[in-house]
Amino acid sequence: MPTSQPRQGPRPAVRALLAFVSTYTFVWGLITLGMASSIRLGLSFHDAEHLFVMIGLTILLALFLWAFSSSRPWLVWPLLLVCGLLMAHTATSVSLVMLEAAS
Amino acid sequence: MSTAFPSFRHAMACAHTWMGLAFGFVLMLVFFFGTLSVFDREIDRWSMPATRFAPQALPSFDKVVLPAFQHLQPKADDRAQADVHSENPLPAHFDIVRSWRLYTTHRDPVLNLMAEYEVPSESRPPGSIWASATVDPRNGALLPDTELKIGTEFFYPLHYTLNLHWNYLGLLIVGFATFALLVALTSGVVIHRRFFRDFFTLRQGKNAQRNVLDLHNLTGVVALPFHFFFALTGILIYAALYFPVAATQLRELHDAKEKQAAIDTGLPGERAGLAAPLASVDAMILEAQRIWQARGIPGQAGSIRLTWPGDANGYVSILRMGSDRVPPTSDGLYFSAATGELLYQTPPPGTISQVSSFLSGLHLQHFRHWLLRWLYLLGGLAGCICIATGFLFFVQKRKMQHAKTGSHSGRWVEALAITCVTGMLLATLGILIASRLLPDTLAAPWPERGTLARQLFWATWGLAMAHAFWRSVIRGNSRPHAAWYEQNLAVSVLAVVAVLANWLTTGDHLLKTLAQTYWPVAGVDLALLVCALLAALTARRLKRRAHAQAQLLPQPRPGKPHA
Repeated sequence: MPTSQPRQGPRPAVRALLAFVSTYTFVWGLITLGMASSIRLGLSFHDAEHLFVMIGLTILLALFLWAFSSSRPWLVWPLLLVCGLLMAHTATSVSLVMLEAAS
Repeated sequence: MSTAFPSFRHAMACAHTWMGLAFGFVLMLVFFFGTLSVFDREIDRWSMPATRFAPQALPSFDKVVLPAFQHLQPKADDRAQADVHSENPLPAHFDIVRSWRLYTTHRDPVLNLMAEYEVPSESRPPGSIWASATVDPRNGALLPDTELKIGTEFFYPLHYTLNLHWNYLGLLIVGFATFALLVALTSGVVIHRRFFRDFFTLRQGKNAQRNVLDLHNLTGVVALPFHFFFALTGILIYAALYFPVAATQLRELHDAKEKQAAIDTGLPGERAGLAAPLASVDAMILEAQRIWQARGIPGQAGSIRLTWPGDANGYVSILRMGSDRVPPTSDGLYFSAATGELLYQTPPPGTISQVSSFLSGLHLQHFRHWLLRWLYLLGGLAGCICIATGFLFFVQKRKMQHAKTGSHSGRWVEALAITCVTGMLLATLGILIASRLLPDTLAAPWPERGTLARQLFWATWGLAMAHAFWRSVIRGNSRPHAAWYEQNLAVSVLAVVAVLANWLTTGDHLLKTLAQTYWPVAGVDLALLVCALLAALTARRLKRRAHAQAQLLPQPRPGKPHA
């Protein structure tokens, strides 16, 4: 008689580490893109920094709990990582446009 | 152990337990010394008898403060920590002043001065060296620089830097621990099936493990908003370190915007290199007060900074003290140091800046609100109890399992818990007693008084840790709870010793300070006596419990040899 195998996944410490790295990357991208875009729209640098760090920190907590508990971590973590890197890359492009316009 | 959680609640239980355990030791320190920092100025008064007088109004800057700044030079400790990369040895005297800074609050009887000097370098950009001094505002006298302000210079930085300054290591560890606290709080709410019912539950008379869990839940739930708020704002205050966007990826944009902002203010961007006399700073302070009065926000100067004093481009910034509002300082005014002419006024902050400074101001609490200050203290102590009971529950729950399997990991956790609960109290008492009993000057090779007091703090903690491990891990089977009992007993004795040491070395006994209603010293003495009483009661209870447990163990039959 076949027995049901318990679902396997990474150890809690590995889960916590990878979930943190992927969510931090995502939130980094979110903060940089949010900052660059809002500065482009006229917000001061430090106001943009304060605003998106406050938003980012809240999102970091929620996303970390989701990424840590996910039943499909090998899909969720790379997804967060790639999205974060894409947003960060876009933020660099937006900031370069602003710097070129200013010079 | 490999895991795929059967449900979200299981995942949250795992996160709560293991992140709480991994970072709980750091969080205990952060909470405890953060709680003491609520009364950091008062602890300073207790540890520095020369500063035991009422807070004073800001004295004449020109007559009292300026001479102190002019004589200020870096001490040996400052020279050792200088931010310089010079190939040559540091000069004996520093002449180029980058800034003189003064910051005071409604609770400070003394003035804290800081000066930054330029250190020229042949091959690199010039570095900086700092100097500091404490001045009696009544006469401008410099207070002994060997004294350690235990509250503001040791406990306060300890709670957010662990006093580990190498590459911001302490700040980073505390940042991770604070994030772990946010995770533990959120996951704690998720795994709590009876959140509101447990708010009112404390089952006394049940077994010890149940009591501990109830106390953990009660303190966690009652102070949940407090803990969440402080964790969040603690990270936000150092957001630039935890999310260093402006210093890395968006650095060029940041520098460009800063340059533009500096041009918009009209303030000089660099030294002129031409000497110029300093205009009356007292007159500038009066003008600042007149402007604040005209704006409908009368107030006192809380922060005064002179940038490049003695240079033609030097300027003086005066910020309003925040005793009556949440942000620590606000409404900055900038004057030419040479002429006293008003150069720039900080515009009213936008909504985002207001929210940000409100959040950080509520964490720092430099404003005048004694009820809130006491609530902070209670909230902080509730956090300490929550973390300590979390450790105890973890240990008690696993003790039985580990006894069967022969595992020692529970005892290791217990030893660490003892180290960071009673051991931390012993270290705190150790530095307080040292501040009262160490002589003013020490002969070589001893370090200076303040440095030795710091070293004694860590030495006491190290001894407490060694004792906890010796009792719990090495001799764990023979004397359960022995380390808890002995360290509680030591806390109760040392707390009384601290009160007596204060009396004998200063003459300020409790009856005298109570009669004079001098609360900074009376309050610390009373807190020490309450601590002694609680520790003695805990020790007594532990002894009774150990005695009862010993009686429950099977007694050897007479006439039969022991196995």
